[in-house]
Amino acid sequence: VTAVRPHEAQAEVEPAIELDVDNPAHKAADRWLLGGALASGSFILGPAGIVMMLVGWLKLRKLQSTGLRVRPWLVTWMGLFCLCDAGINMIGWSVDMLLHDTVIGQTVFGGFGRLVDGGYYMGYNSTSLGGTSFDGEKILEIASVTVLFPLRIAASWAFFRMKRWGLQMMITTSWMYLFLWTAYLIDKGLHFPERFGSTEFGVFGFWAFNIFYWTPFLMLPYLYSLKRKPEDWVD
Amino acid sequence: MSFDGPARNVQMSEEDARAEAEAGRKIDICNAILGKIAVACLMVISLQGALLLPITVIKYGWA
Repeated sequence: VTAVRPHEAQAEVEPAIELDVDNPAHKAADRWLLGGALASGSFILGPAGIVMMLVGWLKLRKLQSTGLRVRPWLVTWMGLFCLCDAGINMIGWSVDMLLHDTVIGQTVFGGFGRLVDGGYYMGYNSTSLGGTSFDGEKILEIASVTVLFPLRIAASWAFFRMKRWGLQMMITTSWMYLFLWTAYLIDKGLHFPERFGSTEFGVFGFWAFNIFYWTPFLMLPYLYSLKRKPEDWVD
Repeated sequence: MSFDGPARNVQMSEEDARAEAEAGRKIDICNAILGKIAVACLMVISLQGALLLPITVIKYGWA
């Protein structure tokens, strides 16, 4: 960046090296990214959300090319996609919990059940609570929708805004997520024939869908690494 | 300000401090690689969620 001063022909001016996520331009790009993440997590606006995130990414890249120090890219993507993930699962399981009689609910879960997990197809809407008829799944669903996913969404947002409590809550909710995933796999295994024997892609289809949920194992070491640099995070 | 309270007052030789810093740097690099794999997995989850409804409707139609 160059600037002209009255007594000098031209002087080099150092670019701002302080990370400021509250900079208006940075916030404007963040709005696209966060809007896209929320839309992607909403099921219905999913494809539009992907486009919005691409716009936000291009805006942030452009900002970086002007010399402004932007948030570390890994923090940006991790915060965003954790928000998407928590949104998708919270809305998805909320639909099964509360809106299992709607057209959207029966379309999504009918398809998901036939493709990947028979627990959302066999005996669907046949119990007093409605939705999936498998007890273990229902327990995890209600506990996650009311406790884990709201915490995870708040943590992802605060992590994305580089708040210290956001990083701490990301670590806490990652451990909670790990607990959920372990319980979920055991629960699935207990009803193996009904849940995998009746789907289009069987066990392979389930793992092709589910293996990506091992992310907490991978995220935690990185989150602890970030904790070693507390000066990057604000209260 | 630190996450874990004030730093411990431990006297360390310069060589030990350098070795510890180098080890910490290597661990941070490994952890960042794991973090990148995690982000790739999260991207797939997000895509799955974004595309589940369209795929279902195309394959099986509306309920």
